[in-house]
Amino acid sequence: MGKAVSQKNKKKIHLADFSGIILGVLAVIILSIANPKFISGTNLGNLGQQASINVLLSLGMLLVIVTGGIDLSVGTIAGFAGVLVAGYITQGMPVFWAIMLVLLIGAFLGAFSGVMVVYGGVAPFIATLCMQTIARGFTLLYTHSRSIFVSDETFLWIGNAAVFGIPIPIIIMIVLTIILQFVMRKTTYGRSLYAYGGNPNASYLAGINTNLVVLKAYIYSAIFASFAGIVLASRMAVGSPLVGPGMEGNAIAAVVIGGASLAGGTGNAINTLIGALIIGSISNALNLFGMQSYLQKVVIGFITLGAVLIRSLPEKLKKN
Amino acid sequence: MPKKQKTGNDRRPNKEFLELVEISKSFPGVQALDRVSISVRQGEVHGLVGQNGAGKSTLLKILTGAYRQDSGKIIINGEEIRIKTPADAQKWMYMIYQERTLVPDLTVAENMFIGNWSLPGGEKRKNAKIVDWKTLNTEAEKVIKKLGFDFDVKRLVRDLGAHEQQLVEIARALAIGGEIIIMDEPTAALPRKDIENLFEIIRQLKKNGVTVIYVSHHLQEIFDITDRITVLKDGKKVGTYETSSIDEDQVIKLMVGKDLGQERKLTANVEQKNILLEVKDLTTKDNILKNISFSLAKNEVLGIAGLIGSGKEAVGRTLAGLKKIESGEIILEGKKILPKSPAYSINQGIGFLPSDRNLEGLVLGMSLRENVTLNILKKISKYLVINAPKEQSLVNGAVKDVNLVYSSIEQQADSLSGGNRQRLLIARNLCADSSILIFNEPTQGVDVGAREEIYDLIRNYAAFGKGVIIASSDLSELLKICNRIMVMSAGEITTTFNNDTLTEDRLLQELA
Repeated sequence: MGKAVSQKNKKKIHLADFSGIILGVLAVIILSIANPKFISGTNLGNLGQQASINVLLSLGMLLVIVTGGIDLSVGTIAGFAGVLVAGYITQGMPVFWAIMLVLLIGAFLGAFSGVMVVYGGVAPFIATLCMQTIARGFTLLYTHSRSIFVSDETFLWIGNAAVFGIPIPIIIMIVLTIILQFVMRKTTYGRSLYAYGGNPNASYLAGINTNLVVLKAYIYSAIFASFAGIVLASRMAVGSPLVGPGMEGNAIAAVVIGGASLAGGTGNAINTLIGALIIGSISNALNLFGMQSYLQKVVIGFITLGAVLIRSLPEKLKKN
Repeated sequence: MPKKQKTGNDRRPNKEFLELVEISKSFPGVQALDRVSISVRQGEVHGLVGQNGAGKSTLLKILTGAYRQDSGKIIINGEEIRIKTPADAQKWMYMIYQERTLVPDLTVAENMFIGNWSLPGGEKRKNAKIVDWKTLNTEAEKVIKKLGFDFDVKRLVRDLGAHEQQLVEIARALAIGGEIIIMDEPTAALPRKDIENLFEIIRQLKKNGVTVIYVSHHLQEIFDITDRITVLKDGKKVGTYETSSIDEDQVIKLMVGKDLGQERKLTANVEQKNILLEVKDLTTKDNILKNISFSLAKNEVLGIAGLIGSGKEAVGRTLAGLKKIESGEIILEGKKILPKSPAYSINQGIGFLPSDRNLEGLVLGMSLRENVTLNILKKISKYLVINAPKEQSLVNGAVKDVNLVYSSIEQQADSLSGGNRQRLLIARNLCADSSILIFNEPTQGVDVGAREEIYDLIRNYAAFGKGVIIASSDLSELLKICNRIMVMSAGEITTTFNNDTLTEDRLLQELA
């Protein structure tokens, strides 16, 4: 025991945390060498805008994953938010209030999942899986399976305009990442969140209101998801009932590639952003290569698996 | 999976069946077992007694294959056997732990033959892939009957009572051919009335030629059921005695270390007039504590001694807000309080250090700094944002006060040794400015060298007008640092001693 061990502990953790990012950055470098178009300003701009949606989903997902849970409903909540905001705006509601209302509704859905988990003892997987279906149902009900087209200039500005040459969605994703990083690292909520993820019992004993910590994580996740849906609807100029199912997959992948453990207690916003950008870059680069999107899914699946294996395999081998 | 290997067909009762010859085992810093030689006769009930740290659990771990001895032999029925893994041990010995190891959702019969599904069929069905349920159930019934009981082996284990479940575990040992059954504190989880039932089972086991090793702190039980007793002390065997030829007091004297009367440095009595905490008729909803009353004065270190199940740990947990209170009063510094959650108790100035530091105390993946301030997040923040400099200075001060050994305050808590982890928790409570500290097993998992320092910290803490409650199974520890010691049994306080002329054997007597 003693000094030698503690040094070793420090080093090992660092590597595992960044393994996914290292792997991903490597992949990106290889891809950009293979196709220089990747690095062009236009392409990077596209890349950023496309990835921004996933970044928003992933940031919310990060909070829930740090608590040791998972949120399978982020995709369909995003879809629901998209059609709702489109619907409200086409019915004449001012853009600002429409967005506020949709975020509020999203928060409510998140609170519902959170209450199920915290007070109902329902496993996060199940609670959010059910919410996923419920939100999907709401989406189809609300739209009668038809898309809602939006032409309101103010609304479309969010997803399509640029400030100082930088597309707004990119600004949004960077700003929110910074804010979340701050909250997680520097506020009492963030500290409590990591403590709970690391050891729920010890956190409770230390006087932390663990129920509230977890509940808030699900609420924030749903709010981020709703925001993602709003930005996406703006970009596409349509609230589409096709959006939603499946999006949670990339969000989880981003969080995991960014080094967070699904057991909870680790992970941060900036790494999650990087994780989402890596996924986005790979999709983007493979597009430039002309690879079909279905094959891209296979590639991303393997990369995510690789990122997790780098962390889990050494632990498993040590146990033997 | 394990199997019945008969070592020879020479089974005369009273013959030495299991022999431990010069077994030694050491760990860094401590010689847990020092050339221990014990012989156990076939078909006898052999009691094993000794204080905490005497080497009982190390010995059991060696017998069950969890550890390997450094030197020495294990001989069964004249042949030396090598136990490299638990599976090896299970060819001979079966251990009944304090916690149940049954699968609640399977039936009694299924549990009895778990992993040995083809066993009931005998040789002809040795490699069968399909379970013969009829035979399995019949065989299971036979074993239960052998133990003097009769019930439906198709019942789910989860529907059985504590005593019946224990019976099933013992029956399982018998069913897979166990010849030696080791019972570790078997009555810890049993209600009083079922103890006689357990003894009946043990007598039936004897009739069936099974050898039983019975480990317990309850000397009364040892005298009720065993044929011979082996006493361990400080890793050595003191002796093996016929139960009928010795009495409790003699056994206690043999178990106990040197008289610590000379070593005690504190004033024995603390003025009971500056009362810090008063507990009156406290009963918990789960009835683990029954109408307990006591008081704690400023500058006092109050000890709680008791065996497993006595409720000694529940006192601290209740004051810390972890247990629901049914009735009674708790008055802290003149104010009535009702601990309903840890957050509440911490606010009131009660600091609690749980016995399992890793499970309930520290967040091992977080830094030392973050662990120290975990319970005072409000104190170090403004408008929800943590004030890093304030946190840093508070932590540095506290960590210095406890003499924590570390390289960086940012290093992870799991890099600390047991003693330092406890120091970290104490530092946490120093920062929180608690007026009372409650320790459950303060030096569990702390090596001998670091213990004295922890005791010093506790004494210093009390000297500043605070109060300390220590619940511990280490009697010498209590005698070293407490002003008074309460003894608890079955949820009640039976006696309270002043620690002026108290000796270890007197205390043990009270516990037994």
